[in-house]
Amino acid sequence: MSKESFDYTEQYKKFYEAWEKTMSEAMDMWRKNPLVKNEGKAETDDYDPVAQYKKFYDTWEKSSSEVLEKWVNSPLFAANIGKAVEKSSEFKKYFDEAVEKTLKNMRFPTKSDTDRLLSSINNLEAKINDLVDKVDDLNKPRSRSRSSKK
Amino acid sequence: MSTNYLDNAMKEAEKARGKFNKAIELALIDPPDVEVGATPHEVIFTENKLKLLHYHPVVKKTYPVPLIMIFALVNRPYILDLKPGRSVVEVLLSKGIDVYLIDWGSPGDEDKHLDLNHYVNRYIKKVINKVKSDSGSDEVSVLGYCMGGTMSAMYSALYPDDIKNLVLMTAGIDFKVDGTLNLWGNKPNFDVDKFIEAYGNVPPEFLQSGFLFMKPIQNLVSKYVNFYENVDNEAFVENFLAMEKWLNDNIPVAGEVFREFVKYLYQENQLVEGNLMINGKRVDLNNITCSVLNLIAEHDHLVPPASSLIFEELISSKDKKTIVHPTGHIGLSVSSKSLKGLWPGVADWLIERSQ
Repeated sequence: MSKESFDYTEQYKKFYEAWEKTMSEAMDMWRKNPLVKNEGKAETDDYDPVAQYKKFYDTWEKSSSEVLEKWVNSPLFAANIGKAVEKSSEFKKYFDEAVEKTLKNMRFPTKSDTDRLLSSINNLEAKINDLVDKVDDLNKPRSRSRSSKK
Repeated sequence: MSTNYLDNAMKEAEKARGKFNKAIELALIDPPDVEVGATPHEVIFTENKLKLLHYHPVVKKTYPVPLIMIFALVNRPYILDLKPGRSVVEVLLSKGIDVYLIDWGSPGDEDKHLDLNHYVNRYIKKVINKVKSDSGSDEVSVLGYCMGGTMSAMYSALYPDDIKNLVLMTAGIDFKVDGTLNLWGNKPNFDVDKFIEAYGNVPPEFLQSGFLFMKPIQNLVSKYVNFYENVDNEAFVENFLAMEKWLNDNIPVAGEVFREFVKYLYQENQLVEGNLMINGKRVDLNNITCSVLNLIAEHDHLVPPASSLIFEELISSKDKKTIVHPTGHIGLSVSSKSLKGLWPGVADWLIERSQ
């Protein structure tokens, strides 16, 4: 969805319509509530408050999902969240560099030092695996590999 | 005021209080232990954080061509073997397929330089050679899920003779389609270089919150309301807790491979454009000639179906098939609909081509 084709007015209208629909259905349910109808002991034996609440919840869930999913799929949201991530990345980089410089000046081992060491160990392991494979290849009998199992 | 209405309301409130307490106890206070990835296996190869798992066969003789399952880099692979009765591995083993699985492990900060070249040309190549040696077969089948599918496609294009059968599950191929991740990862919106320079590896919380906010109400409200409503159903609770364990078990992603995925695939769509280079070699999907089965989830919001549908048009395979199954991204591997209605057929497809 390009920024140019995203119609904010249309999307706001849809958001308003969803909100209005939810509120109307909630008001309808409230109007049908025997207490509000003031029918005394009118048919409340089978009145299920949980079912009524569930209807309201289902309506709310459906319209909120639609609205929020449209929002997170909007270019404006994507641009804003991207900006927030970018700024947090800049701050983190600045902060990490400051910590690293401080630790280096105090002659403490830093994270980069540990990472380099671990990386060397991983490279050694890879080299050993390659050597093991070469030895296995050399030890393989020259005949064909074993036939199918089934 | 009607006493019947009040009586009903009070009874329901009392029931609700009991259910709520049970839900809180199960979810927070005393959550039961959930065993996942329990199908018996052994680790036959390790390198760095990578482990190659070989599942113990459950039949006397397995079919000769083994299957290697390659999952994405963003989550743990035990989604393919979640629990007894919810396991793709179980279904395949029961049909006599010799199953191996790559567990990528959790990258440390020292792994931030691992790129596509390392994953495809080193790790996957190494694993395939190990499986050939372990199984005694000169041919292998590969099943790639999500990012694992994309990497499997890349490998198959670079080494077409190595793969006999290729199964893709919700694999992203064309990234210039409408989708939330495609929008969020677009060039003006996401400066991936700055992000990786600052963070090294991609923090699991970053990915987790991204996935949650794709469907905020469903993931943050509806899921838990549904759990509350079904808290008395033991089977439901078991499945829910197993899924929750996996969903919250995110791992970091090695920085360089993430940068390449975002830049080369999401932003520049190089795989489809035909100019993706890995270690100086062009990844040309047209080189793929093996039998291909492309599984797509119809309601996938992570990898839109359109992203995977194009795959058939780009390859040279004569024997190719696409199945669009009516589930979501994760449902393709854990829903009972998939495990009963899809996977036995997938196993049969593999068996036919594994003689």
